[in-house]
Amino acid sequence: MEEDKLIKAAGEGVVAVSPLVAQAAQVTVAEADFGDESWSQPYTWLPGQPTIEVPSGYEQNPIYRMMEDLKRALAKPANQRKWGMVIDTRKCVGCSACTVACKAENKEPPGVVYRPVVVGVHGDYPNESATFLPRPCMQCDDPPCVKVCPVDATFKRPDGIIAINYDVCIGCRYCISACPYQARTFDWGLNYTDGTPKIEYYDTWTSFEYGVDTWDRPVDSRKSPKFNAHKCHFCLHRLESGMLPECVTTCIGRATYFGDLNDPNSLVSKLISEQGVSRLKEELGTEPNVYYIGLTEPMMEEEAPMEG
Amino acid sequence: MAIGTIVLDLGHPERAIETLYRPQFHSVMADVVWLYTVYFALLLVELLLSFRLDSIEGRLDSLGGSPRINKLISKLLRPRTGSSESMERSAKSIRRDFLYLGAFGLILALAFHGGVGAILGTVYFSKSWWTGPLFPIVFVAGALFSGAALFIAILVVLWPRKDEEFREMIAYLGRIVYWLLIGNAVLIAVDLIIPIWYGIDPIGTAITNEVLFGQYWYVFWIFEVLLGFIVPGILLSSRFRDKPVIVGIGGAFAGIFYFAVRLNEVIPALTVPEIPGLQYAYVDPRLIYTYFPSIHEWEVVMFMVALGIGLLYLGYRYLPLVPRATDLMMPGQGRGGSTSPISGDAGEPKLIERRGFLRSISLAAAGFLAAVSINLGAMTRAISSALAYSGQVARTIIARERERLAAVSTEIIEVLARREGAERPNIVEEDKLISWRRIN
Repeated sequence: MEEDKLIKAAGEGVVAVSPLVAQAAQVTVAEADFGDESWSQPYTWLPGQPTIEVPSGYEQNPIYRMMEDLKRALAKPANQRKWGMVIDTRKCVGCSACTVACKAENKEPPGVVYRPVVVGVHGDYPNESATFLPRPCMQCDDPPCVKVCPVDATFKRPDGIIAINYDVCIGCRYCISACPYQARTFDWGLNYTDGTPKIEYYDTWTSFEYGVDTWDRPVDSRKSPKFNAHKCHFCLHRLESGMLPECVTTCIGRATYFGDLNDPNSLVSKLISEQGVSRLKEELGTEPNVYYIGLTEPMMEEEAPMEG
Repeated sequence: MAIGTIVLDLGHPERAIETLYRPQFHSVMADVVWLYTVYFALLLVELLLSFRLDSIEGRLDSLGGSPRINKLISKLLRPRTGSSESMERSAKSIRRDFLYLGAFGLILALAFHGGVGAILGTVYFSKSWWTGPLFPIVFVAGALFSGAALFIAILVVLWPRKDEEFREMIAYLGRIVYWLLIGNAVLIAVDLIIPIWYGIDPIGTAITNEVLFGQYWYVFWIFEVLLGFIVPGILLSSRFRDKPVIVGIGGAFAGIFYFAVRLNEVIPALTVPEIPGLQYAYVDPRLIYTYFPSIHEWEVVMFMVALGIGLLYLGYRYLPLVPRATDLMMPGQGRGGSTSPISGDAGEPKLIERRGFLRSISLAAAGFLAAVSINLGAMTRAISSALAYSGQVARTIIARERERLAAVSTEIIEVLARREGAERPNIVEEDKLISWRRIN
């Protein structure tokens, strides 16, 4: 089925008994993808690629520009594009609109969050300043979470996104411990309306993650995606339908940019080459694909900034 | 037991088998699962071989177990054609196999205990508390120490003849465990001190402070240091080494309270967010950075302990595993031992009583733990539903009583009204009275 391809195509390649074989198999899959035209086709079960006319004079508007970038990237085979994000922390106002939008888009249950905004307070009163650090999944090029999965349920797709096959994940939570950015959370099978007389309909809604419409959450069922590890996947289902990730479109300060890092003309590539960018915990060598402009890493001794 | 608790802790325990048929050997967790599986297979082979050896050498019946199962074992495992020479040869080859299997088992045991440490140690870049390369060594040393300590305790309880040989054996094992204890204490001290020596590692310092003086300080100072090291250190010291019971108690202390060491090695790493401030970025009861086992988790552990004790008891009772003092058996009785005292010298009935005592204790413990673990959840549910039900019943009764009272009072009012010539009708019951009058 076409819908399953998103999850399976890259996943199957890595099912192998040794790392070497796994690596070889992955390369094979990547090569197969290269010839597979359907990899560049959008998935049509969602509303489909939106046809938005760019109003004249708005060609350089970041959103329209990023959508054009997206269209260009989607025309290429999957393994020739590399999704990346640039977050301008100088423009982030800490409104958490991205967090909320992400929760809604991916139907994240209690305890699951893909993109929190970390508030850092620096200095002592009255010389204080606040910084805001949105933290999506870094989609590392050398991801520790993928290496530790005992059953190969999580894998790096040819387009750079780290995906989880919910149907295989055994729920051991090793990847959650391994991620140095703590970008993974666990679905404990909880509902927002637990303890109330009725479990509301929105607790059982199907999540469209990974372009598959099978992730419903029946009450009193342990069916996946319950009891699986969850993580940000740059709204893969939206990307494949030609839409930008939800956090990008909802950002009120235009602090989040998204696009193809392999395309030198994309907005993100321009930002990375022209602005001074840095990455979180660069010293670990995980090679994140999320770049920050004006990054101030939070420090250890910080107290609760939002309390009171 | 440990494997059982881990499987039950998985989000999808039904998929645990996937680690066997689609493993990723990059992951230390998959490696450890495989090592454990091979080790269990090896243990099973060793057990069957030992049964075969026992049946060849005609020792089965002195090892306890149910006679029927013993007969089955000798029927299945004893070589068919049996000249005494070929029997001897096969016994000899089994002994040689034991040597090889034992050596292989030792390697496997070192590998998977180290592997358990490596599961945590390999992600030290994200959790610096799990001190990388040192962790597998710490885990192997800990397994040697806690395993040997518990082994002494079990030997002291189960060994049938408390003679001079037994004393010597326990004293020897006690000495080994004593030095393992000292070695472990040094390792743990190193593990605590080295990362914070200069005090410039903020995460390490914060966690160490939390472990030593934080909310759960007593886990370190009372359970780990006092009950896990100082008390067994004294009990296992050379002073008490000629008293097997004291050595056994020391071993039990060291073995049981070793859980505190593991707890302090594993849990604190998870209490500090990897990006400072992340704990306030998105607050959810399921994303908190303090940990204390929930009632459900205690239940699961108790259930698994009960299951383990139960299996141990079943093995002890029905399989020829532990040498029994055959001369103390009641004639014609099964090998599980009889609790009724028989004539003999002063030591024997005591031993039998103890065996009976052990059996009752293990059964009672298993039963109790199983009952508690299974029922704690059920009990709370039952109590709450009982309360709800009784509330409903009470409400029904109250409603019925109220109706009855109303009827009675109406009647009284009616009687009164009749007696007083309906001069002072009750306002509430006026309508009824009126209708009553109309009828009459």
